[in-house]
Amino acid sequence: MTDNRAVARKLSILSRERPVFRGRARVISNGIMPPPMHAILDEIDVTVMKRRVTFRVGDSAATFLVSGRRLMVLEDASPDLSMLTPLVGQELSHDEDDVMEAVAAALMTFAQSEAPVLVEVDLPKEAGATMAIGIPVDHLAELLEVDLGETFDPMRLFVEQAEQNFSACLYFASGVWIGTSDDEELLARLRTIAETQWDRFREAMNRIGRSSDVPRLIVLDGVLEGDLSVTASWSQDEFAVLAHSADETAEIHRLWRRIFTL
Amino acid sequence: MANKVVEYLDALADRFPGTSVVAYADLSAGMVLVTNSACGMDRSALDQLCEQACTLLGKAPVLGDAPARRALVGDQDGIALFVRAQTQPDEALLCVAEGAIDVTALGREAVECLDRITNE
Repeated sequence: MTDNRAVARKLSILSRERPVFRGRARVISNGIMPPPMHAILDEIDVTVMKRRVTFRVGDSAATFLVSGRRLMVLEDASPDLSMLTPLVGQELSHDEDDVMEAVAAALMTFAQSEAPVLVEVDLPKEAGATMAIGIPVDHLAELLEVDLGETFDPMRLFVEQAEQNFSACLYFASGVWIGTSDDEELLARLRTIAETQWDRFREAMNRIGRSSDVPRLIVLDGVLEGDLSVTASWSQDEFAVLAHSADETAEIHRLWRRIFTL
Repeated sequence: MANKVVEYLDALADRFPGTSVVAYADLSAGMVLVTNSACGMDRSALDQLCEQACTLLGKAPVLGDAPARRALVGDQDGIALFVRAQTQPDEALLCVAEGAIDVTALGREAVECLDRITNE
């Protein structure tokens, strides 16, 4: 994997700001974004030096010795991951189909729970190189049909999931605002907001310390005719502006939080 | 009077675990007047919080046609909720809470708390 897109993605992962920890464990997925399987494979993909890497989802956990972007040895696994039980303490090899399938099945179990995925990375108990063949992350990705270079659009997912909760939406993608609503008048009102107020609003937010560096949601209740609310959401270069009833504020915030916070 | 207000603010904070700040502010002066007893924010942070509330609840709407009666700011850490008094539009309650919180209930009880304060 030497193409520029892959390198840029790895640099992005490595330089990710403000990692979120729960105890000693770092949260790499909230169960939705980034998709858990991608988050797990990304973690393997950026582990070049020999490390003990424990993936934890709820009460399930598996600890691997990882080196050179390969799972080298399965050091431990929680009893519920029964497919891994026979492999505990074993060196792993991509040449053994049943080993590959057992590891893939365990990772699928993690990914399908839609619960936060945590990782702990420690120094190995023993120094020196391992003689294991290992399972390269590329092989796992192929078996699991995961495109490691795929990028995700959490704002689009947020807009899709909040569709039942808003009356109109403008979503900024690829340099243009895209509107969604059955109410043309309300959508026109949002377009006017985007054209006349959006830039000043962003500047005002930057001024009061609510910069666009991190994902944010701002709901203003009662600012449109009919006591409607306007919600602004942004994450890096993606924006969405929604018009909705104030009764939907809590649910829209819950959906946003589920997607954008770790 | 101030002690009574603190009691109201403390009662609201106690009702919502995770709420670290409940502050009563005058938007026209851009100033936090009183906070809950356990508020851990220093004066500078409170001033910044009040500036955010003034911007979002200000007379000149930042988005839309009318000044907001309530503003919610969500980020990775939690929420800031700003509620304007119904009878005294220059007075507001500013709440900061970490983690998941019942936004509907906090908003409703913040309005009730503010009504009690402004009606004293």
